[in-house]
Amino acid sequence: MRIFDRMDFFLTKALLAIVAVAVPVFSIGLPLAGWVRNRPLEWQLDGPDGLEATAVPDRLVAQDGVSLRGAESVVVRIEEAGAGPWVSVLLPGVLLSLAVGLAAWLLLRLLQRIEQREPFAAASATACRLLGATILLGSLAVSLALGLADAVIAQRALDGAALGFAFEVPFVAFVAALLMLALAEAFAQGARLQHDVEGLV
Amino acid sequence: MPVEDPHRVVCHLDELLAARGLTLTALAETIGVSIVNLSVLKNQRARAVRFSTLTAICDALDCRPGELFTVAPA
Repeated sequence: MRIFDRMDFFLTKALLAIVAVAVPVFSIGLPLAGWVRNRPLEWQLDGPDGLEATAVPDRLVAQDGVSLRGAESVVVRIEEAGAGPWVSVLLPGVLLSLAVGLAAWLLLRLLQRIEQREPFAAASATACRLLGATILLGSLAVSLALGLADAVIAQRALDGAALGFAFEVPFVAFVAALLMLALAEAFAQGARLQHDVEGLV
Repeated sequence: MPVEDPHRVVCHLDELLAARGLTLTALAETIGVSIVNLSVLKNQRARAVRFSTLTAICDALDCRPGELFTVAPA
């Protein structure tokens, strides 16, 4: 009896496809639609530590056309944001979508090989290494882009706010990437073992 | 000296089968090894043989490993 049967493979692939489509729709499509329709830009400033320490709305002074609300974090609403802030809030979504799309494609290829009962191939190890690199670099890039967006929005929205650039180190993603690299090594060793027993009677 | 492909081991399974009037299918059924694996062995595509397989073939064909395999001259 197989623990992971055909239906499980199908559902996993379907889930991956849904995630790969949903992430760009929500992280790029929605902000882009707001920009195109000239809606106010809303952004939650909660990334940089410096802002969290002083992010009490009544201590912050909003510029004209900007409203602030929130307690520990601040939701900024800019009526006429302009291209700069819109691009800065779109960038994390674009990077996230690229990383998720690439990761989903690599996972699909890996799943196909496992489903075909040929998991221990050099290509599987390569896919795992690329997946680890995608998680590592993608999370770093998204975190940097979020920090950049916070800085751009704060500069545009807060009057006299001297907000430095800051970003959170994605430790969870680092751990996930290291696990993928370890898994890649397991697949590489499996491929070597598979090669050793080829032609064994 | 590291062991590397290609090897020079020659399998004489087809000759032994012919001498005993046996088919590969019959041998496969007798010793419980798949016909695909025995075909790999017969057609010189095997790269390694389990001792258990070797024992079963020698028992079934009443032969010794030296009759089943020889090493071709370099």
